[in-house]
Amino acid sequence: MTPFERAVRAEIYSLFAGGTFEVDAEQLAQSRGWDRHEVQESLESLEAQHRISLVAGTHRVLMAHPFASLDSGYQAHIDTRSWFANCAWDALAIVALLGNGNGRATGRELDIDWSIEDGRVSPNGIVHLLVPARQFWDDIGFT
Amino acid sequence: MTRWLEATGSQRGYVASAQTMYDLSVDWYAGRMAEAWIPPDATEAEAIFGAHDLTGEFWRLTGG
Repeated sequence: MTPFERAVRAEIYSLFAGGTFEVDAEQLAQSRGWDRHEVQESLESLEAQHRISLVAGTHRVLMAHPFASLDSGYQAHIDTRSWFANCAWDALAIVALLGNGNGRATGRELDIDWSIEDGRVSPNGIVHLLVPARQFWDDIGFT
Repeated sequence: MTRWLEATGSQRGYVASAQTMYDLSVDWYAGRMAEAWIPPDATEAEAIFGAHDLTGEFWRLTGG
């Protein structure tokens, strides 16, 4: 990553962590006073490097793992705040990233409701990963 | 899970405990928010997986 790409990536993560779910080139450019075209190029480069995923044909961030921009049914909850997650792993990961060991990971479709207290998950359910690690980014949306 | 696999026509992949995936996340996402974050290469990523007993072909990133 170039220094500018690093800055763009960090700003994306900061916005998601702060509760912003719609992050695009225009918003990134405005928030930091960056040139929009440079931001667009950086987003495309970051996607090519598998650092983020963009909504097809746009410069809107779809995923910045573990954060999701859309409601997939999985969420992380810390105190009174909630975030969209891409999957059960990502829901747990958001708590790990932001919750200092405490939070909840939920999954609507499969009735998942895991509590994380001091880093302990209860009940200790299972996570099923369909796609092997080296193929994660073949189709990250499917993964 | 069996019902989900049958309903979606999917083959069983890797099953890990939620605790394992949480513990993995602590290491996997460490430093992720920082501008200076350096993504792990394939060898480093495998080491992170391995530290949580996530090994074998499913978790292999190196080699042909």
